Amino acid sequence: MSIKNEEIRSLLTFFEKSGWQELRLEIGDVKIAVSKSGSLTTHAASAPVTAVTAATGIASPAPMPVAAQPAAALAPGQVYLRAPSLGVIWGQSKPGAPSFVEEGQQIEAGATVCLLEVMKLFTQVTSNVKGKIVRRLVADGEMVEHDTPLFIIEVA
Amino acid sequence: MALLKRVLVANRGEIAVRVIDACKALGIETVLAVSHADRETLGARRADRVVCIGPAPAAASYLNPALVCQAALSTGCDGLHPGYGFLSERFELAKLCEDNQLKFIGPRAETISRVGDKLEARAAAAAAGVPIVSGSNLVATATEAASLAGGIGYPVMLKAASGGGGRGVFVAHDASDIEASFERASREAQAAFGDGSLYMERFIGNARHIEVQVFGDDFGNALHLGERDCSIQRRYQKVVEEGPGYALPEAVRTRLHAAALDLVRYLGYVNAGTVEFLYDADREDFFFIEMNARVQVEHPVTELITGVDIVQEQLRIASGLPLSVRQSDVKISGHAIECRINAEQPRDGFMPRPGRITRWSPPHGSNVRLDTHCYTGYLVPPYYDSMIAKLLVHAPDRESAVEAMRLALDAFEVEGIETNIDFHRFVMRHADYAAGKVNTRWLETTLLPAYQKHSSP
Repeated sequence: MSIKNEEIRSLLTFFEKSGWQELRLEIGDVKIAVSKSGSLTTHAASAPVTAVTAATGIASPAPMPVAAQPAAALAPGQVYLRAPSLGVIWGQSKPGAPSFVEEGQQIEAGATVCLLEVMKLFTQVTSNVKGKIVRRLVADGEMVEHDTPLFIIEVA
Repeated sequence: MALLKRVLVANRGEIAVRVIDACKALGIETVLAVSHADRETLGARRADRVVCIGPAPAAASYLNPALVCQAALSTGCDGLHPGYGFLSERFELAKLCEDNQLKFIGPRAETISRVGDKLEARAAAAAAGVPIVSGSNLVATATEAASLAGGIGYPVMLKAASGGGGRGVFVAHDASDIEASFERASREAQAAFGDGSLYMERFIGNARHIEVQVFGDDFGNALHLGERDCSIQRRYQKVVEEGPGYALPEAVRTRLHAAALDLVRYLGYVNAGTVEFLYDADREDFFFIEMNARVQVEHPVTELITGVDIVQEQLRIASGLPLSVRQSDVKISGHAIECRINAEQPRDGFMPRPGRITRWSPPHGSNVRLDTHCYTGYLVPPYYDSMIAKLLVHAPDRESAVEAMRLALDAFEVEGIETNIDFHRFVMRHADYAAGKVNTRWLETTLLPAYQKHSSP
């Protein structure tokens, strides 16, 4: 079974109009993965590299366990919200203040979910998807690396 | 005083591996800060811990002083090694480390800022009694440049005050092209460094690039490890380096070393550095160009001919220990050559050629040293410098070193990506190079035209 170019085109048009954030499709040898949210929330950001390795058929050394492995697997419809760089995570604007978000809370795209501190400089981490905070994965004051999952979000 | 306990390595590629190995030899733990693209490198495998600081582009990872400093503090490091390039000569990082009780493995922030400004470095050299080439202070306009150039003597070079790596440098051969050269140099300086200010220096036609490896420690000791000749350059980028300097009168060599040490003492310089000179082969005289406040790419040349481990000395000095070598201990033995192996295509304007290495078979031998982070299967990423290895040989004299390098290059096989290995083979077999009849313009004016003729089908 194969897929024609115009079929891919109409599929992408459909995806564009849909409320979906990601689409993964496999038909025979053809694999299609598209995302509206960029690399920040996809849980397969490293897939292209892996794919190149497999395609060229070269044994490469086992990946170093760099970032802490995600604490929880994703259920269908869920995405990770990942750290944009290394830094220290804070859940509220200052000690004693209410948390930006709680587990179970509905959030809009663009909502601040936590702060990332780099040498006393605080950056707001925002969600680029609308949905529900399923889990917070990093505690206050913890250092995270670039790309570390911070939250699991169920995309609305 | 004890050694540092844990060092953050804020760099990538071969120098990250080199620094990690030096730390290991001294029993210092290592944390390697990597970008998203470098999580599976050789350095990452060798370091005790790896932290991913940001995405692949250097501006969002390796060039961010706050990120690397935060990574060091969060992982309990007491020292930070910046390697070369990236943040190694950025005042901001050294200052950030100093302000956070993190030992920056390099000179003081104040020294970095002083020698990083070309005009200030020139002034310091002059004050220390080091010969400087005749030139000017800042020149504001082309008219001012024209009025000063006559006094300096044509040809003159227009150079970016906050420049480096040969960007923003143009030569005016006479009064007729000073205006055009001024405009071009100023425009390029503005684009490359955000500062269009220029100064002028007399242009030395038959010049060799000679640099002296120096050290200072917290106890006021100043040490030199002899000199290197880095005259084989393309667009002011070094291609081949060797040591000691050859065809250099002994009296000149002695004065060269003394001048370098004078500057180290004048600046109260601490840690490793390099004082670069232009050697005017016609007049048998030398002039200060600049000081590099970091470990150099070509430092292994000096390690081979002196037996001193430069990175380990850097770590000792940063730990507050005295230099482990006295000047009277330093003996220059034999001759060493280094070829910078790049993933690039010399026949296509030296365009970088990143990609996956499908076969990596380097030369071996007791007289061969290879500093690299590459292996079969490694993907050379497109985000960074194209240097993939430094191939060095060490032999009793220059002639046998050139022969050893020819053999080493012939045995070096890389597949999957294009490299400049064949270009280096051509350099090593050129009669001028073998005879040492080269200057800083030789590669571009003589060798490249010959290479293009040789390699065109």
